[in-house]
Amino acid sequence: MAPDELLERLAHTLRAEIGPAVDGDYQRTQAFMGAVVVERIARQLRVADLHADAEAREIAAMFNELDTTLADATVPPLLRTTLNDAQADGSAGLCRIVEALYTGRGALGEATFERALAVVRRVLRAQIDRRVEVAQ
Amino acid sequence: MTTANTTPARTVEERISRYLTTKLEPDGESEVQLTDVEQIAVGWSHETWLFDAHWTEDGDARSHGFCVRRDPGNALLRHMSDLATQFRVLHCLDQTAVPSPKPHWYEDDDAILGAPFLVMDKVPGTCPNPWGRDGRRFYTDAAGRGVLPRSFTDALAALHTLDWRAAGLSFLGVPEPGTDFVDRELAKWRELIALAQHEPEPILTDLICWLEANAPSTDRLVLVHGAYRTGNLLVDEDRISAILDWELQVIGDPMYDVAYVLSDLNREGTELLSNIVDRDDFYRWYEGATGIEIDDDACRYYQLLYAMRSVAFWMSASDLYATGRSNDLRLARTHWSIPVVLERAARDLGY
Repeated sequence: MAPDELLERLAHTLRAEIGPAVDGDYQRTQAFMGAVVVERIARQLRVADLHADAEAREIAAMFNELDTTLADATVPPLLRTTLNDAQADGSAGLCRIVEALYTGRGALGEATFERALAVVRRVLRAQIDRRVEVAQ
Repeated sequence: MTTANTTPARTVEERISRYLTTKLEPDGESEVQLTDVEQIAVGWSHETWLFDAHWTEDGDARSHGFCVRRDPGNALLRHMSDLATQFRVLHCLDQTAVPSPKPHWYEDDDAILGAPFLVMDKVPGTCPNPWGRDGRRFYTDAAGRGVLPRSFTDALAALHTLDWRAAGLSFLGVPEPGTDFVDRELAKWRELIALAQHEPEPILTDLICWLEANAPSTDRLVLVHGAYRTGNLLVDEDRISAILDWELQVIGDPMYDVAYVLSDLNREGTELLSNIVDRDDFYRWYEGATGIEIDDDACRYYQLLYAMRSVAFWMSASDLYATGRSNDLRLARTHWSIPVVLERAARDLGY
């Protein structure tokens, strides 16, 4: 049995067998919450590889698109350095890019800033849609 | 590690009884007796006991309803909101038009109840949970009768028209005119986010950068409750008998509270604000009672600030579980509330 399937089974047992048999409102709620948490982890495990692949593709495309977007712009040194350093740094790297864009907003000019931020935001949108799929 | 309900309720009741005996000084060697003891709200915030106390004074039988709130040591927002501050705020609000429980005593001596606590009046009324089926029915029925919607608005108006300087509330911190109020709020929630040591969240970074870049100017300052909605208000005979949960209050922009009332996150299955009041009625009654015009742009800004605040809450809550400071699985569950709030924030930011 795959780990995610086993966790689904555990969640079902918690919800259908253990929870109803527990005395006390607080303790019963804990049993049901335990089922919810285990279900979320199972879902997360099931899609982890798929999501990681999609994210890697999107981030690579984002860096290419940012290169194009910023090609004719005066790119502040902090943003340039961040773009070079953040590529292999996952969410932390994306955070630093967003911060560097806002910090460099004046130097970039409003139109370039907006275009570059939109490129990053497309990736963030795709990521959050996937996470919400698991969370809800 | 602190877990919910580690102290047997019986022991706590006995200790409360002994404490009240020292305060109420009943006749002779008699002790204060407690009846109808009810413990509520375990786990998320401060522990709360409601009960009636009975004693004899000068030969006369006396009774009084009390509420004890105790710091469980691991409450959400604990480092931002302590019972000493709550007690001081309630003391300032006593004898004002703001409906609030009368405070009696605050004790920071752990030896008495095992943790700091405050004692205040038990105010008549109920506080149905607006997210549950029974609660939703309660508010729907009350909205239909028409009295509670007005009382809900009037209580907020009383809060926002309070002379907070005269009431002694300047100790909460008075922002300078301009963006100081928002700057303070952003700093407060950034601090909570940093404390949680959650993994980096790029949408949250985007949100905070946007909030910093678009901070509205605030010149009108009022006492802001910070979480004004059904569920934090005691209702008695269709009227607000007390505003509860004085944990996030601040001197600041009245639109901060108004935005919370207007938020569709604070209603479920209804168009009524906070499950209770029609939007147009709320605008008309609030503006009429306070003389403050509702600023929709400011409210939209504050709704995004609330998104940041919600993320900070959930990060803090899930961190309490992850780091072993609480065993409450409801806190673990909030880990998955974070992407839901961030998704909504992204939509509000236009993506």
